[in-house]
Amino acid sequence: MNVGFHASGIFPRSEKLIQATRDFAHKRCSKEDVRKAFEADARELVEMQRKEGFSFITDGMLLWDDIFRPFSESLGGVKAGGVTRYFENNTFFRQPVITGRLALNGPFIQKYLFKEWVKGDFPKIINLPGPYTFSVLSEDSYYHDRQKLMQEFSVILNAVAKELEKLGINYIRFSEPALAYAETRPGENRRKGIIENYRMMFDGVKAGTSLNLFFGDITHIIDFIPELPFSGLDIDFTETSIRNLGISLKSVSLGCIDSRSSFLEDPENIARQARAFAESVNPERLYLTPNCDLEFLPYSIAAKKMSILKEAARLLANP
Amino acid sequence: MKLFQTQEIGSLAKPNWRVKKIQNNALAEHDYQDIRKWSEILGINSAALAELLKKELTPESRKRITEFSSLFAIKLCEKAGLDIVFSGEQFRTEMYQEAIENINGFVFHGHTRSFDSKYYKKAAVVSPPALKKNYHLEEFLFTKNNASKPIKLPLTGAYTLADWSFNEFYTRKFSASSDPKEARYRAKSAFALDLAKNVMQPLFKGLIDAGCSFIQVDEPAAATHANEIPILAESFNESVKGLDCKFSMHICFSDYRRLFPHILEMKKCSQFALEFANRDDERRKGYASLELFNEYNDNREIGLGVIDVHNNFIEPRELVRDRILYAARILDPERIFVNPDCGLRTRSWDIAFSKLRNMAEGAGLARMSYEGKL
Repeated sequence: MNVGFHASGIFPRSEKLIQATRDFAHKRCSKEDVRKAFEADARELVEMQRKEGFSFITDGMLLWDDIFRPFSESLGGVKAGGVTRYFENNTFFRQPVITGRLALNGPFIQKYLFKEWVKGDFPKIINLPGPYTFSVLSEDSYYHDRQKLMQEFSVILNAVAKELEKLGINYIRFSEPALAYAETRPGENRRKGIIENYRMMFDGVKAGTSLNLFFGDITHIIDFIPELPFSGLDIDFTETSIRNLGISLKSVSLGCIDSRSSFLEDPENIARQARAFAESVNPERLYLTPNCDLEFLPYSIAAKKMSILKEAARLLANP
Repeated sequence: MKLFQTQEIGSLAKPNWRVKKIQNNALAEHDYQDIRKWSEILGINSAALAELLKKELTPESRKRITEFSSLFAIKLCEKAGLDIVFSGEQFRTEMYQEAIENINGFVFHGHTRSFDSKYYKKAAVVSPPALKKNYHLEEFLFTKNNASKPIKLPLTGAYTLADWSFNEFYTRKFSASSDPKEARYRAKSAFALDLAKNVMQPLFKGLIDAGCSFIQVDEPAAATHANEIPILAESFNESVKGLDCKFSMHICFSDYRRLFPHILEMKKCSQFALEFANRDDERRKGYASLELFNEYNDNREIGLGVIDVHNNFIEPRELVRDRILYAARILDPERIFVNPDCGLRTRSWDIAFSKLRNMAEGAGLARMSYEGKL
C-alpha cells in the first residue's frame, strides 16, 4: 500500500493576512498591500507543504471567499446572494442565486489561483464544488429542476477541470458534502442522474479526481459509491464508522484530522485507526487528510494539525 | 398596547473617532466633523468629548470615550424613533469575545472566518467555565441612566458561546466513549449546561437585581445542529431558572423549522426575534416560516426582522409596512414587534440611522393601515 498525506480545500488565512484584509476594508492600506499579504501567505503555505513532504500541494485557495464564489462571480446566469450557513458551521457562504441559464463567459478560474503556485514544479491539488452540492445549496429561480441544473453545472465544471489541467493542476477533488450530510443525502431516484452528471463532468479530463465527501457518514450511501466514476474517494473519518464500510477501494483519502475541532489528535491513534481501515478496505493508495477544508480552524491550529498529519503518515508507513 | 413596537437587536458600528483613539491613532479633521454632525442630529453636547480626544489616552478617558459612543448610540436609536432601545453594544469588543474574556476556563486560539473577510476570535474551553465578573452590569447601568425609552439588554446565550468555542475540556472528558458522535453530543451538552449554571445564571441575576426587566438572549447558533436543539432549550431553561424578567431570544440566518418542537419547552422565553428580510423577495417568501408558529400553536411574541443588515439598501418605509402587514395576516398583530434582522454593526451610522428611521416610520404606516387610518 502506498501511503501519502495532503490537505486541500480552503485554508485559514494567517493572522497577518486577516489584519491586512481588515486594514484594507477600513482604508488603512492599499489594494497592493493586501495582494502582497495574500501572496506571502500562499507562498509560506506552499513552502511548508513542500518542506514537510506533502503528496500534493495546495495554494490554500486563499482567494476563494467560499467554495462557490468564483462561479457565482464569473458565470452568467448566477449571482452571489444572501449570507447562508454552510451546513452545521458558524461559517457562512453567499448562496448562489440562479437567475438564468448558466453560461461560461470564457476562462475565469485562473484569477482565483496564485501564479507562483501554478508555475511551481510539484504535484498540485485543488477542490471544486460538486454539482450535487451546488444544486442543493443554490437558490434556483430559473431551472426549477435540480437534475437540469446539475447537468448544466457539470458541463461548466468539465470546462473548468480542463482549464485547470491545462494549467498543470494534477488532482481535482470535487467537494460534495451534500451527498454525505444527513439532511441533504440524495434518495435512490436521484442517484442515476448524479452518476450521469459525473460522467459528463469527466469527459476528456485526464487529471486525477476524487469525490470529497464530508460532514456525514458515508455508510448511508455506500451502495452508490462503487458506481461513481472517480479515481479516488475521500471519507470523513470523524463521521463514518469503518466497521460498516465493507467495500474495496483503490485510492482513498482518509479524513482523520478533525478540521472543526482544536483538540489535537494523537498521531499514533490516527495511524492505528488508519491501519485498521486499510485492512478492511485494502486500498492501493491511502492518503491521510483532514476531514474537510481546514478553514474552520485558526491558522495556528491548522498548522499544528498538518504536522500531526505528517507524523501519522510516517507512523503508518513505518510501523 | 401599541401595535408593532420597534426595537433594535443590539449592535451598532463603533464610530471611527472612538476606534482610532482607543487604538491610539491620530484623529483626522473629518472625525471631528463626524462628531459635530452627529452631536447636532442627536442633540448631544460633545464639547467634553472633543477635549478628551485631543488629550492622551488614559484608562479614565478610555472609559469616558466608550460612554460617549454609547450615549450617541442610545440617542441614535431614540432619534430614529425606536420604542425599545439599547446602547449599540459600544461597551463590548463583540458578542463572543467580550463574554469569553470575562469567563474563566477559556484560551483564545486565533481568528476563524465567519464569511467573506469577516472573522471572529475563537477560544477553546480548557477547564470548567466560571463567571469572572458581571460583564454587562456597567453597560446596563449606563444605558438605564441615559435612555429615555424602555431598554432591552441583548447578551450572548450559553448555547452559542458553547457552539462558537472549541470544546477541548469536555471532549477529553468524554473521549473514552466508543461512539464518537454520542461523545460529541454529551460533551456539548455538559459544556452548555455548565455555562448556563455557572455563567448565565449569576450574570442574569446580577442584571435583574440592578433593575433590568427585559433581556434578549442572543442565540444565532441555535439551529446550527439539528440534533442539538434540546441542548439549546435545556441550557436556556437552566440559565433563567427562578428568575423574574422578560426574556426573548434572537436567532438569525438559520432554518427555523429545526427549532420545533423543542423550543416549546422554553416556557420563560416570551419572544423570538428573528431574521427574515435577508431571505425575502417580492412575494414575501422570507416570511413564510412564520407559519411554523401557528403550526405548533406557539403564541409567543415575534420580533420581526424587516431590515437586511448585510447591505446598504435603505428599505423604503412602504416595504417595511408591507412586510409587517404580511406578517400580521399570519400572526395576531399584537404579537408582532419590529426589528432589524440582526445587529447593524457592519453598517455605517448613516446607513444604520436611515434604515432604523425607515423601520420606525414603516411600522407607523403599518399601524395606521391596520387601525384603518390610512
